[in-house]
Amino acid sequence: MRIVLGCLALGAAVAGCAGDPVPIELNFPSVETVLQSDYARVAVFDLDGGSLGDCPTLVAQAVAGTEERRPAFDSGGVEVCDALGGGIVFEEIGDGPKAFVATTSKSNAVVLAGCTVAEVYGGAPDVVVHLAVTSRYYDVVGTPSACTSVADKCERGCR
Amino acid sequence: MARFAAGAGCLAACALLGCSSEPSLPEGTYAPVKVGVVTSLSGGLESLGPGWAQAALLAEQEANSAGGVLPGRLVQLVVADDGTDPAIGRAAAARLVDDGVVAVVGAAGSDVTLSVAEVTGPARVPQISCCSTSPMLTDLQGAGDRYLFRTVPSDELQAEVLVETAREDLGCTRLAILHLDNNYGRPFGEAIAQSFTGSGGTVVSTVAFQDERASYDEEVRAVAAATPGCIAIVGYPESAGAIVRDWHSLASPPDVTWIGTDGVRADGFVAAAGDPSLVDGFMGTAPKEQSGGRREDFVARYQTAFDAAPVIFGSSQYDAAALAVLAIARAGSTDGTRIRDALYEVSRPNSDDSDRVIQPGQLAEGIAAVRAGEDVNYDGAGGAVDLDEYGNVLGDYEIWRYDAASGTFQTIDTVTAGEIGR
Repeated sequence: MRIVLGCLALGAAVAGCAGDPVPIELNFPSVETVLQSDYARVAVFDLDGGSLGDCPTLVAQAVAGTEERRPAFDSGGVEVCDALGGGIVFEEIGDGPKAFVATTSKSNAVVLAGCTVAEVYGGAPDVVVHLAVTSRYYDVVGTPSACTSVADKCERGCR
Repeated sequence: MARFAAGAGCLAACALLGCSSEPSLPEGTYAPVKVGVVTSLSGGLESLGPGWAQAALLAEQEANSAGGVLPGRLVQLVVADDGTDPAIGRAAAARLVDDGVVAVVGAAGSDVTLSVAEVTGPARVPQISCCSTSPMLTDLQGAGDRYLFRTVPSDELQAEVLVETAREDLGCTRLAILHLDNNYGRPFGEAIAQSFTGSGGTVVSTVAFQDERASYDEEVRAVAAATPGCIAIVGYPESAGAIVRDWHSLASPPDVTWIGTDGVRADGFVAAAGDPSLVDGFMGTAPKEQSGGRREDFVARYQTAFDAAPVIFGSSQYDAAALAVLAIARAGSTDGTRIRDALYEVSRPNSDDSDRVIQPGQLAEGIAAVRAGEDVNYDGAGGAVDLDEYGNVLGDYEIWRYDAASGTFQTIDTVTAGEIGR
């Protein structure tokens, strides 16, 4: 019995399990793009070996608001400050290849977007989504942010 | 035996729990695709090299925001310093090829690019230079079956523009030529001499100089002794600035009109001259970066990412990286020859213009289009970048002038590709 319990602990702690939480790290192009974002959202799509190249299409649809597929998991809109540092976490996500589609928005327009294909399994590397500015960014963002740093925005409430 | 049994029990328990410690798809499915960036983080072009690295990183950011260049595979830039030195550049290229890069963006200095090509060519790794303008690149490899490309036009064309400016705008009849003693300066100097003589002028002196010397006193004395009316200088920013400084240190510097080249047009030139008033009104030629939407979009994205303006040829460097990204996506493979073939395809328009035009900031759309089987034609931030069978592109040139009051290089005229040589 002790061996089985030890195995369970070892399996969960070392190898990880399908039920482990999966935090999403958002990689912004610059501090300014963090300051200009109000909300972040991550949607997770199940993939298979034949759909690993779906990211560009999923990103384009997310930016245009024309998603044709329903995500398996969706964080919904999260205040961007709460999304930093792996703040968006998915529980019970299940093993296998996934597309993680992230967007940030300002004034209801998607200003940053990105997608990463990663596989969820025990001991998998962290999921990092690389964001880039969308064509809407320059329509919505008129002037540089009045905030000087992420701490200014997220800890001191700069707007 | 007991340990084995316990281990087997653990595996069984993990299986029951649904734990998987391995990805389900084969090894390498998610491996990043490495692209080398050979740039000058030290040496004569060190003031520009970091900016060129950042321009390439912008293309990497864009591609990776679309999930990477191949399905499930991000692009990973590997930046290497060439020291603005051919030997260092060759060694850096060898390390990159050993590291498994599938393409190389760079180098900048023609000497270094030619040296890097000695590694990338035999390894069948496509190489795209942002900034090397030497005519020697054209003939280094065969037509079509080549691995060396560039996103700026050759100096054969710039020499014609420089001479036309010297003759018609500046009234030069007696020209001295000061050129770097390398694969950028030598052929460029020869092309200027040939074109100037052909236009009826006289080349009174040609003096080669080494980069990064503390003093150019000997060179400027040799030129002054030939009593030129104009001096063409083919150099890098710091060495060209030091030459102007030393010219004005002569006891009685002759009154001459200077004309420089693309390698001179950088803030490091003014800094090396020591006193901005010495180079106020200094004119020169350079490949003209695209104006209008495509260029502006690149500049805006660059400034958003790096909180700075791009350096000269920054747009050409972005174009080089963008072409590499699209070609890898088009090839659907990391095979160098397939990527090389794809470079021609993604850079040129179809004969009936039926392809989809991809511009700076649209690499995600470009990757999606090629995966969907569409033909794409990349129109760059620095120009149309339609690669010909010699790896060359056509482009416009600017006549620039340094204005000390504003501390800026200003474009005072443009010569389009169609006007050159008429």
